[in-house]
Amino acid sequence: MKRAIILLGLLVMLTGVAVTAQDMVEPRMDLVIADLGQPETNPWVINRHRFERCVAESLGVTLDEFDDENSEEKHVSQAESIIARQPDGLIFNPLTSPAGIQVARLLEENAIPGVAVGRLVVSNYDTDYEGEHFIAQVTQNNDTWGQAIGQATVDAGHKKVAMIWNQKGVTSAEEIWNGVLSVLEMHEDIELIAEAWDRLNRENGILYAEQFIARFQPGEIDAIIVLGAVAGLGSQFAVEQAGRDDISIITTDIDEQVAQFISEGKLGFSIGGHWMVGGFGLIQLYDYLHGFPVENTQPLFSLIPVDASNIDTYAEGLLQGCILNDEQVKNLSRVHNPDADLPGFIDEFSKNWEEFVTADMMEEEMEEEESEGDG
Amino acid sequence: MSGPEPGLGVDASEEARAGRSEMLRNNVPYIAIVLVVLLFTIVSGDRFLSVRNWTFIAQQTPVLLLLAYAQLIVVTTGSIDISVGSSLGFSMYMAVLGMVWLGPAGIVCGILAATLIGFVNGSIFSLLKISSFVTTLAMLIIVRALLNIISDGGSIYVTEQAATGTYVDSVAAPWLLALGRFPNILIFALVVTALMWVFYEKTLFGQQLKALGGSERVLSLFGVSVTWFKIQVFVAAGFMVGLASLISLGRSGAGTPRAGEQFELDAIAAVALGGTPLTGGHGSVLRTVVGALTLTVVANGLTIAGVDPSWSRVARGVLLIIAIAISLNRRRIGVVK
Amino acid sequence: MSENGGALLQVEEVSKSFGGVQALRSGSFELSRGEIIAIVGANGAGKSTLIKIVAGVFRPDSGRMLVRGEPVAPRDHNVGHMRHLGIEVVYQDLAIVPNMNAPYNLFLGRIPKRFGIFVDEHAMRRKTRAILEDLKVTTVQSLREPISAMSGGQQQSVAIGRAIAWGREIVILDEPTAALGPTETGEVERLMHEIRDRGTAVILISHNLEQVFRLADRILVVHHGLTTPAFPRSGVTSEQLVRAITLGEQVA
Repeated sequence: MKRAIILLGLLVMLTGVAVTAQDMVEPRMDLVIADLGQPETNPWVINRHRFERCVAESLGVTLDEFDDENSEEKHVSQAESIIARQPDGLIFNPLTSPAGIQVARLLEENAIPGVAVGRLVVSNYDTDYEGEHFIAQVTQNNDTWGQAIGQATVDAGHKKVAMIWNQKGVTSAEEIWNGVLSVLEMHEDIELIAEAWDRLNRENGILYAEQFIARFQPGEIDAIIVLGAVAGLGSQFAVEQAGRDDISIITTDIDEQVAQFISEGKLGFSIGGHWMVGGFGLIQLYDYLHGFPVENTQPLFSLIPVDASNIDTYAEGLLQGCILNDEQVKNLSRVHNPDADLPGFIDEFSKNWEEFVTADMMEEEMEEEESEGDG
Repeated sequence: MSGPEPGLGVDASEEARAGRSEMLRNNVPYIAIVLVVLLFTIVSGDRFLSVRNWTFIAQQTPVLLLLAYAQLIVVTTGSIDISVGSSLGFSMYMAVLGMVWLGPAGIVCGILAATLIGFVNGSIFSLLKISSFVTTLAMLIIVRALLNIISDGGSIYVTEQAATGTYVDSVAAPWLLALGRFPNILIFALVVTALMWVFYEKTLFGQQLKALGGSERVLSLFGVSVTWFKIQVFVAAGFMVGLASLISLGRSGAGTPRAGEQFELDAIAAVALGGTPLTGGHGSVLRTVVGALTLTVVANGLTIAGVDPSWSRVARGVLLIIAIAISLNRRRIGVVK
Repeated sequence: MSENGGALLQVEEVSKSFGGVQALRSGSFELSRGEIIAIVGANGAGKSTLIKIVAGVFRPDSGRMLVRGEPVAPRDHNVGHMRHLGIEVVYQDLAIVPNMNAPYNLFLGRIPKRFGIFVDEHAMRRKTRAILEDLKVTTVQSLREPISAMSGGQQQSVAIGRAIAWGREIVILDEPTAALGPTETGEVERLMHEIRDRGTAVILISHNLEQVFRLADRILVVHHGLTTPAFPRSGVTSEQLVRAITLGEQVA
């Protein structure tokens, strides 16, 4: 019942409360926002860019994308070069916290507003950060992310699990793993039988899965939890090649391939949607550039768990990146909608995405029928 | 040279032409940087030429430059050191750790660490006679792993004032952060450049670097202790990496497990862009400065021009090949390895 | 020692093998001041190994070597020590560092320093010019250019000049004229006489038997890693010498 009310609220918000002209700030159409992140080598980055471009287009913002070649030094150098371009604002996905701190310093020194997305620069913005131009960090909730993976492992009945994780030193990755552990440790019958901490790419996904396959006979291992779909798909490939259908792969990020495998039962579970933080960060920056103060400096997006039961909904609703239309995006901006509640939406969306997506699709169908009727 | 043997008359003009192309080759790095600056001035104008941007470039070049010097020392002898990136990260962490332990003086731990890594590199290469590429490849992996073990994935920050519980690991060293900013970082780099020039061009050690790159066999025929000298070469390069780690620490404000990743490639590219053949025997400090500056300016300029990052990398790769193709003296270098 | 009190160099039954291959089975000879001895033999007979032992490049597996009557200790048997004793070599390939300039090549291993670390380039250039002038090499354009920019004859002059400049006691010449024309050959031979006249001993390796007869005081044949006793040039015909080289026959 409560869900239904929230859903109703969401729909009302999105489908457009009529906004009167005098409440509105004149939207600027000349804004140039730069985006600094990592190269497009994994689905998270690709999806983040897709959604962010959609949001930029809806708001009439020019978005310039740059990457740091996965190097801390280049992250900072690129930020400097970007600042020399004099953009109106910067969205950045800090490679590491130390690199993020340097970018924040550059923003302060050059009075250019910026929002960090995807990874934290400081652990708590309100208590740990004193500047004014680095305005917010929009990230995912790593605890609940890890817990969801842990819960999925428990629900699937796996008892002996191995893991493949990012090399140590990436705060988010370690937080997620702690989330996983917090759930697994509540179940005494679940045993963590092997760990691998290394660079996450397809090759390592294959490599470590093969090592686990060689080391554990059927019955000695039930599942491998792999952070990131790139490595996860590698592990899935190795398991399939070895004909070990006793091993289930649990991973994160959802792209077309992951969706396909989940619906075919080749992958047990994945979790995603956290790429939306980029677009949300852009809306926050856009509002700030129009004079609206930041309401929530550290909104957290909870990830969307996906398994065979809901993969079709996810694939139809969220995979293509542009999951919000122009009007829906504008309604999340206080420039266009004085009642906009972006932090609320970030929070609600992750809890109600399924209903949202279905309702949205139904509505589109209705609109189509209406227009057909008119014709 | 192909075709029939030229007669005496032809020889003279041939010589003159060879002289002209020699001059062109030697000046390719200088011509390249002028063209690059002109190009970006036309494309991006004020934003590229702004004082702010050149301040950034002045901050971005020094660490790369010092790593390029380390590479130049080794490359001149005909060897290569691909461990400088890992060594940089390790030394930065040891420097900041040293400061946590011993106060400001502890920063020398960074220089000591890098020098020690150089000594190990040189000893394995020289005494075990394992090629420098393989030796330093192994060290690239080992040193990075040691850094991961020592840091356990965590970073140590350099802060303006004593920390108030924000970061678990930090050390207050405003002087170091100031060293990492313009103009101090540039002054530091210029002083090191002057010393490097004297070291490379005027000392016996510098001469020996080139001679070793020219003919190791001849040196040993004339009683030069090549074994010990080769160890010293890597020690000198390690020391230079140690100097780089100090300003890199000041610039990045933290010792981190990922610092310096892939930096070895940029260092090699800077040396090559400076017209130094990787086969050894020749080299120039000033042209290495120009090489490092070109690399920085091109990355900076392409970003300011808004070129797609992947295409930006393609452009940088192509530039590298063109510059080396022109500057390579094929008469002097019989075999390309 | 008494019987050979005047000998500058005594080589006594030195041998050397490389990984099981016996390059020199037993080499013995003596050399006096102001003497030119020619070492002849087929390719691979062990000439090269023998002179490299004398030059200190190789340490002999057995046997010993005495300079001015003093035995060379095995741990001192290296190039640095031999050069210190005044023994220099002009290698067949000249052994120059092609990318370095003429002064550096002349001073290889003996670079004059200032303040302990800086190269005294001025002194090096001055002395180089003097040495090249002595050798009547006047066409060198720049002493700052790499030596590879010089002509073959000029490179040869630098290599010989280096040996003459530092080789107070013994200068070893390995096929010094193999690549030269008649004029330059004459020039090199004139230099050898000059060296000999100042009291320095010369060891000449040559395939050119005419040259050997023209220059050498004594001749040493190396055959299959063994030396025959050296004999004076006057007591042998070229037929006998050829038989000694190819068949290892003793020369009476």
